[in-house]
Amino acid sequence: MLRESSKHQNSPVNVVAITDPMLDPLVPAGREISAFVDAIVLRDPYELETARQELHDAAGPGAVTRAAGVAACFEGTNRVVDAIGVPVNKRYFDIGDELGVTIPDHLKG
Amino acid sequence: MALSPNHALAATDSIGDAALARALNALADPGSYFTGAERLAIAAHARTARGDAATAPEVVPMLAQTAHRIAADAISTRPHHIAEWTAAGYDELAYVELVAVVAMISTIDSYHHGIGRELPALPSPVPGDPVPVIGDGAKKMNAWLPTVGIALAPTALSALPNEKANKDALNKPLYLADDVIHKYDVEPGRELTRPQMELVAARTSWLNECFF
Repeated sequence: MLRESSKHQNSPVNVVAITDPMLDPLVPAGREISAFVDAIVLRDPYELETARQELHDAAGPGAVTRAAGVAACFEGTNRVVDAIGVPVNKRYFDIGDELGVTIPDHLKG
Repeated sequence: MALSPNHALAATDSIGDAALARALNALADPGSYFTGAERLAIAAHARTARGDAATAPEVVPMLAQTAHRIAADAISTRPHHIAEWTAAGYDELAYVELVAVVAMISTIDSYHHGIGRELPALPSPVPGDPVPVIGDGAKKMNAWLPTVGIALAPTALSALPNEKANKDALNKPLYLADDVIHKYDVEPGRELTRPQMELVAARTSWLNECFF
């Protein structure tokens, strides 16, 4: 979805940055966004304060609330699909290979 | 501009405190299989599993263990967990309800962490017995549990329409409505562009070892 939305907006993106935080995702404020998400999901309160401030400074207060909202949405959705055993669509297998992600056998459907 | 001392940011109108409050209150309502008190106890156990609460009301071990696993390590779930659930005498759709409750409190709490707010207290339970409300045609398709139609992320809770509606009502203001999620040429006018939001979604899923 990241790649597709970037393609439609004719804006560059490096999807490998999803799994490699050393890389620049190439979207505006991408590094700040990734650091903020990491701090929310990995539950690091000290890093979270810093990351929140840096995203705020880079993209404004609305970016912080929206990024928190989207991350929170997926915190819930991720748990639902994994707990219900929704299989991963085969069309995503190639992307998994590109990102160096191995789809677990139990989710291959 | 430096953020305030507690680093809290007001939720924007488009996200809306009202949607968060409705989602929290929905946890206190009787569900299809659990009372309001039981749903809140499940939510409290999810909070303890995520390190957001020190204690939770006592519940039977199966409920506590399942809530903890889904809250803290959902990717470890396997079909044998559901077999153990039903062997303990629970309806498999009660498992779906538990999943929905854990997902909702995880969403609510993660948002509050993100913007630097204190977590809201769980509400008081609404009295009443659970009444099963099951989606027409719900049956096992391609997932481990029943869904209405093919199981995809948006339909994973469709066997319990009230739970799906609660989740959709919260996800829409936080992220996007289901009907535009795959319309990649639609820029929904959020504070982040679509690619920025998708970066958040992808990174969150990666960190949760979720492959969607």
